[in-house]
Amino acid sequence: MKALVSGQAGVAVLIEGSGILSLHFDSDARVPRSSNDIPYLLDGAFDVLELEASSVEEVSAALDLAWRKDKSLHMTLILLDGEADSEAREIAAATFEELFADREVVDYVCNRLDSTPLPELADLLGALLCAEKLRSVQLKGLLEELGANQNQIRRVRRAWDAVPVELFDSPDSKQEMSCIAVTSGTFRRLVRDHPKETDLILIDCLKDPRFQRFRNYRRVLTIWTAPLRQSRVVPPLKPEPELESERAVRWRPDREGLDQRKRSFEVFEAINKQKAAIKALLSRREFERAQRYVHDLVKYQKSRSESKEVAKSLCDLAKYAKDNGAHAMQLYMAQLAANESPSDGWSHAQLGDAYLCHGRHDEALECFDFAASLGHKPTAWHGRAEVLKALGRLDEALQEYDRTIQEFPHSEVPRNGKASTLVMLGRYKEALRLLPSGSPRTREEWIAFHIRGMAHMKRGQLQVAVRIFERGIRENPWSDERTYFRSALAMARLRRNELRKATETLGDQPGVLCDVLRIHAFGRLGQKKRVRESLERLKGNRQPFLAPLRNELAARYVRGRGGGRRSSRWIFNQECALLLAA
Amino acid sequence: MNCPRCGSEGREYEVNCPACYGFLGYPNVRAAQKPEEKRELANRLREAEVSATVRGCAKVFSKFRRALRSSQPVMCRSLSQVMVLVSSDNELYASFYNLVGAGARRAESTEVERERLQADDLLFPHYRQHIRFAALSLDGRGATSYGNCSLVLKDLAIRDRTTVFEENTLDSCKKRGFRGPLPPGYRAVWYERDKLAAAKLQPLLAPNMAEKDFAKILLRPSTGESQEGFVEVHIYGTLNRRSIERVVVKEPTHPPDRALWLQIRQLLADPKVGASVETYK
Repeated sequence: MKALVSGQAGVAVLIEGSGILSLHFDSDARVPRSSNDIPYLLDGAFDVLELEASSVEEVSAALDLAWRKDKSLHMTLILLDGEADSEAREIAAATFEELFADREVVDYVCNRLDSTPLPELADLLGALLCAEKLRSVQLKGLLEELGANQNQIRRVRRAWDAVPVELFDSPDSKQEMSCIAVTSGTFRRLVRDHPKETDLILIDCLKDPRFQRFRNYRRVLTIWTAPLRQSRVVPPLKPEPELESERAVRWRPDREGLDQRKRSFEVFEAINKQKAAIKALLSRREFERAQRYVHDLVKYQKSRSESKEVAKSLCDLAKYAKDNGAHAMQLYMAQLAANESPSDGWSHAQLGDAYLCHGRHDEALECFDFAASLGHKPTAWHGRAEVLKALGRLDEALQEYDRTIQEFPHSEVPRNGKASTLVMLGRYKEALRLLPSGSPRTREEWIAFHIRGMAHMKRGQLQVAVRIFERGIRENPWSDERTYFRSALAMARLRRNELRKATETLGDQPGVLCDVLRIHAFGRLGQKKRVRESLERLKGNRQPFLAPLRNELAARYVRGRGGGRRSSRWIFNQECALLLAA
Repeated sequence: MNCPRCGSEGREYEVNCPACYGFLGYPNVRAAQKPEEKRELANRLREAEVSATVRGCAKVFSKFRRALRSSQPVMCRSLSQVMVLVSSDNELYASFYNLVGAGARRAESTEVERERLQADDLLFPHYRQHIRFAALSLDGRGATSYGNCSLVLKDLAIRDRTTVFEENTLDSCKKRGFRGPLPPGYRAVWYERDKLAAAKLQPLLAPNMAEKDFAKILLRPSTGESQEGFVEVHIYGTLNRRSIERVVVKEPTHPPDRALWLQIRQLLADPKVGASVETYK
């Protein structure tokens, strides 16, 4: 008899001569059908398998397997979805072991998971925590390995995507061959096996009739696998030879003897994946969700590494939040870091910086003092100087910078801090003398180069300043630093009344200063809607120098003519101060 | 047909004018709007009205038609299929659901589906791949023997591109031995679905019939011996989660199905979708 089986629809249709029956996963009944019903029974299903079977029992077993395959993939994805209904996630984790009891189900799901990298926001750590809560060794093993393989999955997928579509009959043909590479487990083998085995995998594929029916299959497979022969970004961590039968079930309960290095790598990768997801959420300003992911990160990392490492992750994220203008999140994570590792001076310095961004200057000074007492003197003193600068106590800030320079004469950071303060004070010659004059190479030299440009701009030497900023945008290898050059160039263009050019320079770049300059430029162009959009983004931001400047710009460009009270020179100086204090 | 904008001739299956790309209308809708189709449908309706009056069912007939005007298109699917549909905007699910079918087939590409293709070619020449099928329902429940979840579609999402047909297309073609085009009067545009359904189902009305019984007349549930009887709905083009008004589902018993149900409920509650999930035992 012939049968059509769909796990998605949970239906099998049996056809024997003119007799037609349907089997349903959730019932024991055998329902008599006519051929008219077949389209409806399987309508919309795209996992239909056509098979020749000798008995109804055989079809029933095939349906059971297809159903479990389908549900296993659904459950895995729900588990990885940080936004999923919490009860659904718990059920997904609880049903895992039962669904994955069959090797074919494992292959089905892993073949697919290993063929496409997880999206940025997949909540791997949340899933791992669910697995830990249920003490599911299998699930934990699968998820950890999935996390650890992400770089290689990305690499194999990229190599496939790079195969020219011209080698195929059509784009659909490429898609079809990709599907075969998924179901045959070729993606998975290229991800999991040692690069030395790539040739072996290639030979297996070349012998496989499923690939042979494609035009240019030899060239396609050779082009695809060529870059994968080189060793991975992270060297393979499994030295012992492994039997073929063991390969597919490597993550199963028997993990004894698993290399400790591999375990650490998996943990490291899982943490990195979560950090990347948090950063993506911060960029999208999905703070509530980011907070949940941070919570999971802390919980997961705490049980695996020292508190100092947890604090380090949090500080890194706090810095990212600061760079993206997410100051509430910056403060939240810096506070968590300081709580996690109370004896870590670096965490207290980060907390001080977060307080500074919130305009909580006294608390910031306290944190920096505490950080200094814990041995982080250069960062702490520099931080103190920044607070004093923000308070407008520029002379005291200079003293603080001098103290740091005296104690740490080789550090470029306080030197740059001092130079920027001198520029704010209008002492340009002194500032320029302090800055290196050669071609910038290191990050700090690029910062110094930027300050040099600012000094020229404030002196009114706009042409020189523009040349510096343009070079910074063009040649500075640090992308986050290029933002400062871009903002400064926009500022110079505003100064030269090149309003459209200024807005073009800013583009869609996020950031506090960019929004301030957008308000200024669009305000002068009379585009109130754009002004309001930028003002909205700056709401609640307490960065030093920002509040009076924002209020003045809002008064000028939203309320209309006569709204503002300050001079254009004042606005320019405030914009410069904001940029120099950033 | 000729393009209303430039006058060029367009083929029956074309949606846009090949010359000026002006909108020609949906081919299924145009087919149902042909004068001979409308004329024959009007004749059938008139005959049904006369018959209902003779049988003492004129009042019920009129009430039935009124009820039919609020009937909705309902598709029946499994929870897995609904999950795929409602999560299509989500990067995580979409990336991997694309791979579910890897190596498998769509039902219509299997050998046993040849008859279906023949039927579709008669009714939807050269555009069958664009047609989605549903059944007309008065209570939000579809032909549940085909799938536990009934997806009730939004009127706004389908009304301009939808037609209704007397019965299961394949059934109809088989009765006629797949010979020649189908006779006129058995299809109608969405706004005239009451006419078609009333003409078809008038013999099943009884003088004292209550309105609550209409749902089972329109969509006759499957019994051990006979299959479900329904008015088939043909929707041109794609559907996504925003096309759904509500999902009516039998309370799931298996834990994985329950997880899917909870997740579907959450995805549909998204304000951008605004659909609800109802359960029954």
